[in-house]
This record gives sequence, structure tokens and C-alpha cells, in this order.
Amino acid sequence: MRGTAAMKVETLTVRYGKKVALDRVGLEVPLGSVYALLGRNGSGKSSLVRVLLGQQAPCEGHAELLGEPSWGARTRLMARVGVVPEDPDAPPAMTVRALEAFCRPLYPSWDGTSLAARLDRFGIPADAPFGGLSKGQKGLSLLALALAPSPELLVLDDPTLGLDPVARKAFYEEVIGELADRRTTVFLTTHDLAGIEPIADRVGILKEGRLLVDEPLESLKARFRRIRYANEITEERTEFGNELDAFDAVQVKVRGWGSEAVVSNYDDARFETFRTTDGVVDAEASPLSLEDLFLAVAGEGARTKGGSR
Amino acid sequence: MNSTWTVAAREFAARKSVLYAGILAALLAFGAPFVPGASRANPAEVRAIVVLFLGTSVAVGSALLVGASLFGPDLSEKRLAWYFSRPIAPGALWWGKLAGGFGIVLLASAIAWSPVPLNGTSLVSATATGAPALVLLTLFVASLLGLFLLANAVSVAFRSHSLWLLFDVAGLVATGLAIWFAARILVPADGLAAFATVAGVLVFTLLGALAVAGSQQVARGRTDPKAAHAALSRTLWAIVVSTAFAAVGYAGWVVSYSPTDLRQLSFAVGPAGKWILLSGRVARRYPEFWGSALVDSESGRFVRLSTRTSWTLTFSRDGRRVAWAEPDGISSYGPLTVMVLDAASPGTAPWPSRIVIGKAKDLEMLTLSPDGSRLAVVAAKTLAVHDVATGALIGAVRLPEPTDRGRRIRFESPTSLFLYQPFAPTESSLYRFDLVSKKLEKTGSVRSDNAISGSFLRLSPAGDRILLASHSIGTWLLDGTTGGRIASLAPPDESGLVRSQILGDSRVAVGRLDEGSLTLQLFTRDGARESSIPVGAAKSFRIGGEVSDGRLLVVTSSRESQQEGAQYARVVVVDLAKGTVTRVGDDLAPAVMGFPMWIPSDLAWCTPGSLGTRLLRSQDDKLFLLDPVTLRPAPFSLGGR
Repeated sequence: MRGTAAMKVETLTVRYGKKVALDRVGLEVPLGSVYALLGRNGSGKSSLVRVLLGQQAPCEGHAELLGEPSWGARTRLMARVGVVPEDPDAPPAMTVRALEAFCRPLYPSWDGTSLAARLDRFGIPADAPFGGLSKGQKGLSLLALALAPSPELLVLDDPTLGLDPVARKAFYEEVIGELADRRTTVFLTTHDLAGIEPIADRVGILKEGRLLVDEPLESLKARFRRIRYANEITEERTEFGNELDAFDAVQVKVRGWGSEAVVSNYDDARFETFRTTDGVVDAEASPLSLEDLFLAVAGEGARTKGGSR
Repeated sequence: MNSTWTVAAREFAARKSVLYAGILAALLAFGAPFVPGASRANPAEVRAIVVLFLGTSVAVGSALLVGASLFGPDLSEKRLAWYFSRPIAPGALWWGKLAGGFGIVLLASAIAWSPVPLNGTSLVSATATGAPALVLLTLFVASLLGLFLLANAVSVAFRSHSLWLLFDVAGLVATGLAIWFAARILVPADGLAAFATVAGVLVFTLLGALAVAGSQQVARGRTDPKAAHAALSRTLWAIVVSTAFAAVGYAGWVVSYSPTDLRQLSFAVGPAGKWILLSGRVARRYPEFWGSALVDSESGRFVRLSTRTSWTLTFSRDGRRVAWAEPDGISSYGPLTVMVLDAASPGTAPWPSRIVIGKAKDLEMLTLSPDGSRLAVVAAKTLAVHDVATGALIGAVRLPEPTDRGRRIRFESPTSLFLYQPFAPTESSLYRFDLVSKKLEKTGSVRSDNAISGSFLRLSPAGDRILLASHSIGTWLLDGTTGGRIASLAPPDESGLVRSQILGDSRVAVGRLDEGSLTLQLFTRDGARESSIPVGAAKSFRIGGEVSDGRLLVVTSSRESQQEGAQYARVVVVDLAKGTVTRVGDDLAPAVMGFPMWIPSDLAWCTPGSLGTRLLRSQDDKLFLLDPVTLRPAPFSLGGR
């Protein structure tokens, strides 16, 4: 393996006719990290995953997995990568046992014991046809199959979509367990922001094919704040509108009691200066959850490009 | 290889239900003889017929269904990612699915056909063909594979909903056009075997291209339906269209032979003039292809003729004009156009006349008038005379029944023709067609105890005499107008010991072999014996033409006529006036051997001294021209040949 990146894409562009699905996207996922790629439906997440997994050729740019080109070395790479797709795509007529029998000879390091243990833990009947399993069971059995070859990289494409809370909890526990045991690199796309917030090291936010955010979750949360304040006309200040310039606001809403903004360039000293600005009263700053942050950056009211550093 | 078999096994297992169709078909076939109404027939035959229908249905149906669902549905429903998320090479995925899917089709077909061998009958007899079972089976499996791969390609193409479909249509049109061009080149040139080879190569290329294109569809398109369709189409049509156009190139090369490429030559010449028709196998062509070329023996200029219609060639008596029919299309039912070459004008190209024969298969013969200005056409039981320059119809008449091939036509004058119509079995009739009155008048007939084929009739150049020479009838000299027998010159001879030739002045030379010695008897135009000339020892002989007035070329061989190479022997010239025999050379033969039966013109033989009477050939196809004065053969080249 070359370098320290489990995944790397540069100036990746994917088009479908005139529609641009990915627009010169570049990102890097360090080895051993958990990277959460967020984005609304149609933002280009699945296209990025397909390109990363060597299932689709990009129009421009290139993608690497574990130091090798994902298109050219796909066959070799897939022996080291576990994949759980957005839609459970295993042949519906095959039982989980048949799926295992199909996969086992393909991987040099297949761990049938751990697979059996996981299926047992999930309560999935090995002889039931895959198509007859519940949505949660399908997701969990695909996760079990993906983990069986002890992959160096786990790619999860919105894996908890449609899962009930119990299945979702079991899913994340298994992922977290794998991380704790083997420090497997995880790349996942998801809408389940609450679920991944405790485990994600780094976050990317895609909007309309462009990567607005790509940084560690901690620094992201540190620089984003919700600021609430009221305006008061004084002798020296009769007009408002530029008082948030220093914060690089991504969302501003005017309420009856004053203004509410989500800013992407927060720090305490700057806020202290803002709080004492003439005409600004009752200013307070509060941290954002990942969901709030996502909504502020990728939601309808977002007005900036995410202010990535 | 491991992942290929893993995929193949999975594909096979996933389609097990196809086998039920085969089992059901087999059970129905077994039970068919017990169906009320069928019980009285031979049970083996009933089973064979039911299997033929159901077995074919299962084979074709499963090939189409499994082929169409091999990749198309998985691609459009985005289920192929399951395979591409595993360490399975694209090649392993394609060939594995192909092997598994087609394997189940073959097994289901075998089950459906199983009642035939179990029945005690063979597959071949059940399908009522004479082809060897292995060939039949191979073709059947290849056809199934073709359907299977085609179904996959069509399924992927239609499910991609992409504009590559237009590319497919363009590829299809281009291939169709190329095949049509190849057919248009080869079929009229009588290259049916070459065209069949082209068609076979194209079919197997299509089969291979579908397999290769399928692997490219998987390797380059992977999970993207449009990209998969693009890869499939690009590869498929690149192979198929380039092969199809290569086939056009091959077709063009096959027919672009020159006279020097012709082997195993046969010759025909006009009664006068310098043009020779060569026909022979074209060298370096596979499969075997025969061509014809009308060659100017002085300049080497040549015109290629299709062997399919070169038999229609007719020369004017002065050799200044040549005409033949050429097909307008590839169908043997299509029209023919009469082509004309003004042979005496240097550098002129053949030109299409306005004379068109409606259906190629109806044409029986063309005959140019002595000056080449008129053309008699016998087609569709009608004799029509046209003006060559304008194509105008001068006169036409329905020929009397029954009609038979082997007629002879002779222009008596610009406004009158003689028609010699052999009627099987015992009577031939002679008619005169008057172009002024447009009437066909019977002028006489020839009766015999045995059938008279038109090929036995030889007309004197003036038309006043007919030499009828047949092993079963003998050698008769007949009046050219009434057909009345003037003299019997030789009795029936089944052993080939008697041969005859009519001379330019209507006299007749009859050769007889008697105890290894050849004697030439000369008869006047009234059938009276004029002289007898001993030629020498021989076991077989042939009589050629007059190398000059009264000097007849004869080939004498020390071998029996049926022995190989007997026709290449000692060539002598017999001076009929002096009774002398002059040796010309050994191991030679007249290039224009015998009567040119396939050119049924009004002429019995070449004009004395003309090219055709003096042209000799050796066994290795070298040509020599006999000097009429010195009687020595000199090497002869056909212009640049």
C-alpha cells in the first residue's frame, strides 16, 4: 500500500448527459479513520461511491483506494474492501448460506466463524432466502458478509436507510466493534446524522455535486455556531447587515425578537468583539449538532459554500 | 478461473427452473403416443415429431429468455453492483455468467430432446435431414449460442434507453449495405460459393463479436447501463462492420482477376477477329472461383464476363461486334441487359444496349447477325429480333411447342432467320422466320430412330448444309433448308472411331480409325466421296478447323481417347487437295477444342485461317499460334499476357 490514505479522489467529475453529478471533487480519507459523506438525495454521493469502488468510470479526475487506482485495480482491491450498498442487492433467491458459499472462494481471508457468530448475534436465519428477509436483516446480513473477509476498508452507502431503530443500533454496534478490534477504515454515506456523529472522525458535505465541506468533525463543529442577537439603534449605529461579516455566516434568519445566524468561522475572541459591537444586544452563541450543521450548509436556506478551511 | 466457475455455478443454480421446461417437454413427448387419436400412428414417429416441435421450442425459448436476462435486467435494476463489489474480474463475470446461463439452456434442450435417442431413433432421422449428426448438432448449438448472445445484446441495448441505439441502427444498416454490396459483386459473377463463404464468415464473426462485445460491455460498462451499452455497441459494430466491409473488399478482389490469373483454361473465339473468350479457375481464390475474360489477343485489353452469363456470348461473323447478357441484379429471376462491344474499335468499352431480357432464367440464347447490326434473342419461348444500336424490336414470334434447349439460329439474310429446333425424341424441325411478314414457316424436318440433340447439329457457314454427327445415328449430311438427308457418310459408331468436320465450303471430312490407322475421307457438299487420305497411326484422334482453305488440322494420339492427356498429342495438318500430311508438333491440342457448343451461334466453325483454327495449347496452358504458311507453331501471348 502506498501513502497513508485509504481513499483519495482528485478533481473527480461525473456527468450524465448534461447533468453534472460530481463537479471536480477532491477528498482524502486517512487510514483508520471514519469518514462520513453527507448530502441530500441526488447530491452525488452514490456516484462518488460507485467511482470509488471501480464500478463506474469518471468523466474526469481519478480515484484511488488503498493506494491503487480504483477502476484499474478493482478486482484486486475488492478482496480488501467490504461493501454494504444502499439497496440490498444480493440475489433474492439465494439464502444467506448460499451467499456465503458464493463469496467464500472469492476471498483469500474469509472468516466463516466470525460470519456465523455475527449472523447468530443478529438472529438471521442462514437458510432463509435473502429476498424473504426484512429490510433490517438484509442490511445486517450484508454487513456480516462485508466484514467476513476482514476488510481493510469498509464502504457503507447509506446502510441504515429504512432500518428500524433496533437494526440501526445493531448495525452501528457492529461497525464500532469492528473499528475497536481492527481499526478498519470506514467510508460511509448517510442521512442518519445522529447515528454517525459519535463515530465519525471526518465529515464531507456534498451539495449538487460539489464538496462544500471536508474536514475533521471536531474542527467543523468548533467553527460552526448558531448566534442569536437583537439589534438596537443607537446614535452611532442606524443601519445593520454587515455585523456578521467576520463570521462568514451560512444562514441568517430575521426573527421578531432579532436575528439568528449560523456561522462557519466562529471563535471566542471574535464573538467577544461581536457581542460588544455597538447596536448588538443579548448576543449568545450555541454549538450545533451535526444535523443542524448539515441543514445549515446543505439545506434550502444555505447561502454560502460551507466556508471550508 | 476460480471466480469464473463460482459465477458460472451461481448462474446455473439461479436458473434451475429452466430445466423444468425441458423435463415437461420430454414428458409430453413420451406421453404423446398415448393421446387418443395418436395411438394408431407409429409411437416412435409421434414422439419424434412432438420432440422436434417441443425440443426446438424449449431450446430457442430458453436461449432467448436466459440470454435476455443475463445482464440486461441486472444492469437496468442496478443489481450488478453485487458482483462488482466482490473480487471478480469482469472477464470472469462475463464468461462465468455466459457458461452458466448457456449451460442451463443446453441442458434443458438436451432433456427436451432426450426422448429421441431413448426412443430408438436417431436425432438425424428425427429431423429428416441428411447432414451428419455431429455437423447438425454443432450448427444447432452455434445457432442457440447466437440467439443467446443476440438476446443479451438486444436486452442491454433496449434497457439502457440511450442514444447508442441509433449507433446500433447505423451499424446494422452499414452491415446490411456491405452484405448487399458483396452479394451484388459476387452473385452476378457466379461467385455463389465465395458469397456463401462470406456469409458464413460474417455469421461466425457476428457470433464471436457478440461474445467479445459482451465481455467489453461488462469490463468497460460495469454497473452503468449506458456505458455498458456503449462498450457493447462500439465493440460489436467495430468488429462486424469492419468484417463486413472487409468482405466487400474480398468480393472486389475475387472478381478483379486478369486473364493471367485464369487456370484450366477453356477458349472460345469468334469466326473471325482477334478477340478470345477465356474461361477458367481464378488463381489464389478460395473457395474456388471461375471467371471469364474477353481478351483482345493483340493488345491484351480485356473485359471480364461473369461465368454465369458468358455462355450467352455471340460474335458477329466478321468478328467486329460481340454481345452478351449481363445480370442487372443478384437474382436469377431478375432482368438481364445485353452488353455490346465494338471489338474492331480500339479502346472502346462495352456499352449497355437497350435490349433487356425480363427474367434471367428465361434466356436461352443470343445470336448476332453476320454484320452485328441485329440480335436474335430466344427467351421465354419467344424469338425476338432487335436492332442492336437502338434496341428497337424488329420482330418477334412465339416458338412452337414443345420447346427444348439446344436450338440453333442462323441469319439467312438481314430480314430472315433459320431456326433449327430439335424435338425429342425422333424429329427435328426447321423453320424460317420472315421479319417482313413476321411469319414463322416450317421448311422441313429431320427424322431419325433416335433422339437428336441440337448439340449434334453443325451448320455450314453458308447454311446450305447441316452435318448431323451422333454416335447413335451416324454421320448424315442434310439439306440446310429442308433437313432432307443428302447422304449417310458413316454408320452409327459408339466407340468414337469416327469423327467428322464440316468445312468452310460445305464439304465434309470424316475421319475413321481402322486397326490403329487413321484415314480421312473427304465428301463433296452433295455427299459424294471425293478422296481418301491416310493420316497415320493413332489410337484416338480429333479434327480441328481449317488453318487455311483446304488444310485441316488433326490431332492424332497414341493413347485411347478416354486416357488422361490423350487430347494433347501429335498435331498434323492435312492438305485435302494434295493429300499430304505435315507434322506441326507434339503434345499440343487445338485451344478451341471441338465445336463451341456453349456458343450456339449460327456458325458451325471458325472461318478458315482465323485465330480460332490456328490457336494451339500445351498441357501447361501455354499457347502457340500456327503459321498458316510454314505450319510451324510459335509461342503466342494474349497481348500483355
